[in-house]
Amino acid sequence: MQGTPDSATLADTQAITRQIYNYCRSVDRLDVPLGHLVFHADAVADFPTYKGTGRGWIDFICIEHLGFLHHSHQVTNVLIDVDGERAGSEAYVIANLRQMDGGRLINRMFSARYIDTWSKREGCWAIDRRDCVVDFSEVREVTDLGNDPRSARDLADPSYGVLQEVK
Amino acid sequence: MTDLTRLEQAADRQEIADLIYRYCRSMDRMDHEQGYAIWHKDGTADYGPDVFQGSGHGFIDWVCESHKHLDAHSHQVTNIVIELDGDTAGSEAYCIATLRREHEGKHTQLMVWNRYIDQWSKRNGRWAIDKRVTVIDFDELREVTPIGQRRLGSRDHSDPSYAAIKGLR
Repeated sequence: MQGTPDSATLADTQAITRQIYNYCRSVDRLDVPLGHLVFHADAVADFPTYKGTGRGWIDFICIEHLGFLHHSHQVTNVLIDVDGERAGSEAYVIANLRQMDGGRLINRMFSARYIDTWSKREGCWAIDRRDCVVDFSEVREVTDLGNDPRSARDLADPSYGVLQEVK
Repeated sequence: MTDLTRLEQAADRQEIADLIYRYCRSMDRMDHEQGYAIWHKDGTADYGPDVFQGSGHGFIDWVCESHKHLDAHSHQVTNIVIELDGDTAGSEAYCIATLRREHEGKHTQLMVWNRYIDQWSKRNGRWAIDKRVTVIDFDELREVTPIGQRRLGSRDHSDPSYAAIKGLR
């Protein structure tokens, strides 16, 4: 970004960041409608295990994640370049996923980046293309202390009590 | 939306995010005063029946006491979603909390993947939490091997961060 950003660019940057977080929220809560709002209808997604439409990826991943017990997609560095009604972004993510495997609790960790191109259509920012690049990963057995029954992968999760703009 | 509205909303989001980070700082530096400022006086904290349920200020007192039994900890917030509605707001903040304890030469590490789910209000120009629910998604306990003695942080005002970040505005 060059020069002094105006308030519209600031709002665009915040809206895109929100959408990157919405994506994590949709996959962690298995919220397909929320995930669909992150991608335009004609958007494409290129992941190590999937190539197809963005919304198709959401459908696929929300079923695939049922094979896990818990997961958390945590985004750290976010860089966004806004150019009018188009934008590009790179977001670093650490994803941790838990599953049982023959009585053993397994944690899969991915250190990856979401590389996205965006457009603003009818006032809404959404992804045109997402490339997910995995920088490294780790699988290992872990020991946990137990489960918090309030963490849910559906609308029963307490977060839906305070976040209502997108349902 | 006018420029002024956009800027005001951006400022509100920034302030709420800043308070979430200051909460982490209050935990990690065991700074009661900073911790109190995150909640309104009548704000509540629900960290689950096995951890703490009560007032926000009571939580700060409780957690700063219980953290004394640990050697080091770091609360790192990642995703923050904030929804504004005038002088009230809702937020979800993802966090990875890592806590270390040494006992008889063994270093034990607890990592917790959790989310802070907060209801906020702005009273007399000041944002603070009315109600926090903390949800743990999963955790991990294991023995770890530290790498020597580097420059370690302090859990009080002697920490170098206080030379740069003194307190709430």
